[in-house]
Amino acid sequence: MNKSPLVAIGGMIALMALLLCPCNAAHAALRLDITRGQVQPMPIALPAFAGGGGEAQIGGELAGVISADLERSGLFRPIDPRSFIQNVSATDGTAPRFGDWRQINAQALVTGTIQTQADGRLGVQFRLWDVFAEQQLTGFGYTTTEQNWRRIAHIIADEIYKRITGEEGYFDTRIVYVAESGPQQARVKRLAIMDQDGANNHYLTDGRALVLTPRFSPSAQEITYLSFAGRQPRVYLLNIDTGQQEMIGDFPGMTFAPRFSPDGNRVVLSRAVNGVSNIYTFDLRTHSATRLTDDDAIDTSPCYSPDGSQIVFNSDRGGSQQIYVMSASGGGARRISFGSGKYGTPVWSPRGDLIAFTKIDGGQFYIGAMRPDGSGERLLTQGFLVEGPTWAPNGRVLMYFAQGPSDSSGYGGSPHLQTIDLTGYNQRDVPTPGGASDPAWSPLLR
Amino acid sequence: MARNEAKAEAKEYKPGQFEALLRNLAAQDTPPSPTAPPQTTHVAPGRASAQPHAPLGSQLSASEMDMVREQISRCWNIPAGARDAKELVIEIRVAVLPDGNVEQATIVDQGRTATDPFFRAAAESARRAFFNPLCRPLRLPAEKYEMWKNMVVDFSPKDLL
Repeated sequence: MNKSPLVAIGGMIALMALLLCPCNAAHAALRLDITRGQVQPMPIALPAFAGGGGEAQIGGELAGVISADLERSGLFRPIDPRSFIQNVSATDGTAPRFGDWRQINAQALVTGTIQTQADGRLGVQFRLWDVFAEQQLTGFGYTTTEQNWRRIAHIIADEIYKRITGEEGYFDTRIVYVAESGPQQARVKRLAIMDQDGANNHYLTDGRALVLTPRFSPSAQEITYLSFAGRQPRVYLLNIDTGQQEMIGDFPGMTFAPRFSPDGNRVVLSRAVNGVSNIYTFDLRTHSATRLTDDDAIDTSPCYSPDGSQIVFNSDRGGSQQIYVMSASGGGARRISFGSGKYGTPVWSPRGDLIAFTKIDGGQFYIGAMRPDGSGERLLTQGFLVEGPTWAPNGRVLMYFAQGPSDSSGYGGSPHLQTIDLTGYNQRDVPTPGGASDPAWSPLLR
Repeated sequence: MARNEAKAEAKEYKPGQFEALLRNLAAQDTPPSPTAPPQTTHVAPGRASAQPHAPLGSQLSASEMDMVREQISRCWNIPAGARDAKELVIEIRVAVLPDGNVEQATIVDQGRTATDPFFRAAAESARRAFFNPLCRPLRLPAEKYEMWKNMVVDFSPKDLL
């Protein structure tokens, strides 16, 4: 028996009733528009992940790393564990007593367990709860070696960030930067790499050759950078895992300011000959170079748009240093910066909507962002010297380096790393063992 | 080697207007003013006229509407700076108990909730507003319960870069 016609007729009658009757609930409902809200960080409770014996300590540290990641984003406010009413480590994944968490104004709650498996690896599980709605928002389990627990913490922080904000996180990432040590006159500069929160810092080069402007490949496995190792400054490639280094191209003149294309197949860079600098791409597969600009100016700091179709760069072709956008094959360059002062180091956001830059105006340095058509310029932070922005992979946070003035004897003024988010309010220092400049943020590691 | 301590010297977030949320050093060197610009208080005309049978005395006055909107605004906590937030309108259908506590709050656009993670996050933040202790109960005149037992609330952030 086929009863679908009856259903269809019934449905039509219901539809006609909806269309004809002015008295349905939707019409009677009071309508309100809310155009304002609070931008306070979301209160979130992160009790230690439950585990026995040795796991208990890691469980506490794991929750601490997640909590610190979320707090630094400026979008979350972890609640002091001393105010917790319910001891969830005893609940082992069952639904929390939401009333207890509402009472301390938690809007979100993260519970987790950690245990050593038969093969010696750690099993970590977590659940994210909406305290007001009394429901689970997300939950995952991971297995890893004990040494790798910090990465699991960052991955969980990314999942929480993603579920609450709807955007990708940026915690499971690394930073490559130039570690600086020694006096101003005999500065040692080494490539260093660390997690985005400053943990697991180690050095990639030994400091014998000066290095500048390291940039990650899209796979985060390789770094392109400028080294003074040879007779003159050159762009190199470094494989992070193998430590293998190679020079990119061997043509006359100095090459500098390298960056990978979004597909990782090319490096775009500047090449200086006889006092003028032009932009080239170097194909890593065919080892051939293509010239993209051809003028008597200094064209440098090239950076691809995330779709690979355009390149932003800075040039003094118009008299002062400004930002231009051109086709990725060269040509069609148009100026996009029109404010007062000079603009440099443009970097296209991974989500494509903004270009970050350094601006020098009235003796002050600024980090700012504008849309790719040059509209909507905003200056996010300023300082004696702030320079070289790099985007977090979700396009919400910028890292850069800041330096204060040296004293009369040449001491002080050591550079350090900072982050600022797009609101312009959430500015943080990034811990490094010593002086640090030229940071580059990796893509998400997964 | 001594590691620098991570300084928790975050600049303070100034809760307040979305419109004044994003800092621009070029335009202003001080945080946005905490004084809120006046909020328009009208109900969309087409929707107001959809209630022609209600006796005048049972309609919510402008100040009563203002009060509950102000209250809901204080309960709505949304992450700032998200892309395309300007075009975002989240419609929440709400059933309210006579004591002013929301019994049920439903995201109307379930299709987009299922497919667009940013919309889902924003819509859930709007839905969450009704379960925030600051909004339990909603401050509404008890004698006009029939007017507000069902509400449709449109949330639209205007904080875009």
